[in-house]
Amino acid sequence: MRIAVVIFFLFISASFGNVNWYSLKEGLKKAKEENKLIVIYITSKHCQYCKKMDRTTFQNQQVISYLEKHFIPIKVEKSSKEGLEVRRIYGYVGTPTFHFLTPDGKKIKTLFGAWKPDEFLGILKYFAEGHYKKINMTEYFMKN
Amino acid sequence: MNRRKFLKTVAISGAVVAASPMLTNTFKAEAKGEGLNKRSFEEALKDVLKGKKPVESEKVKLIAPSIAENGAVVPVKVEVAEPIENVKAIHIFAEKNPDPWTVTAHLTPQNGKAYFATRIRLAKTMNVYAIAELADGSAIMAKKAVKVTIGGCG
Repeated sequence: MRIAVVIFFLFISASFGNVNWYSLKEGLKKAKEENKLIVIYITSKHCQYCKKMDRTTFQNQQVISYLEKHFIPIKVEKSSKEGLEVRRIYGYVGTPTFHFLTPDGKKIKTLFGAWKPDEFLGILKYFAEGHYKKINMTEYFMKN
Repeated sequence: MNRRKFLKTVAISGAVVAASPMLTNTFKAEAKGEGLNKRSFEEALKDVLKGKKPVESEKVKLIAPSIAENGAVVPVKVEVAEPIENVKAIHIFAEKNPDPWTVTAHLTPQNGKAYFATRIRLAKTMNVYAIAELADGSAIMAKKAVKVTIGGCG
């Protein structure tokens, strides 16, 4: 009985997991070590669309597992020291801004706006499957 | 100030005050977008096609991104597999835009091919329709769902 309860709670906590976000310094180091692409998410406490994404897309198990398997996810607050550094190096459009980077920190693309889980998953696949090396994002989604 | 000047000033001030609610209402109407040509997809379709009902056809090829990174400039290409003499016009509709009718390209045999490409603006995630008006009076179409960002803070 006790084991069943433990398994039940483990299952519950797994199904309502969160993205394991890294800090900028930690994330850039880890991406180099693991040779993984990087996603930097610039957010703000006052951004309703960021809150919506945090409540929906970043609670979606498919998104979480895909993001953590193929990327090093970094989250920065737009006005924090790290946020200002990201904005200075990679630019800023508004919140949410997503910067997709190579493992050594070179910018591939910047994307603006909040996305639903299936749309964000499609965008992640474009980068993780390496399509960005051959075709631009618009052309890729015109074919897919 | 003499009496005549005083009365003139009062009359002008009165006229300005009387006109101000009209001005305020105009601003309110503009803010609400009432001046815009808002209509439903069905109404726009009826207006533009003069009541013709388009049928889905594989002859119309609509190429648009399934996910558009920027809803303000969504590339759309339309190709109709019919001889150019048979195609009078290509219309593009964006189903949930305030005015769904987006553009019409009128074609002549001198265009050589029933092909049209442009960039359109999408207010949100919606279906985009490409409708070809044929010389025999019928209309054929294709549609594609285009997803855009749910929004962001500038």
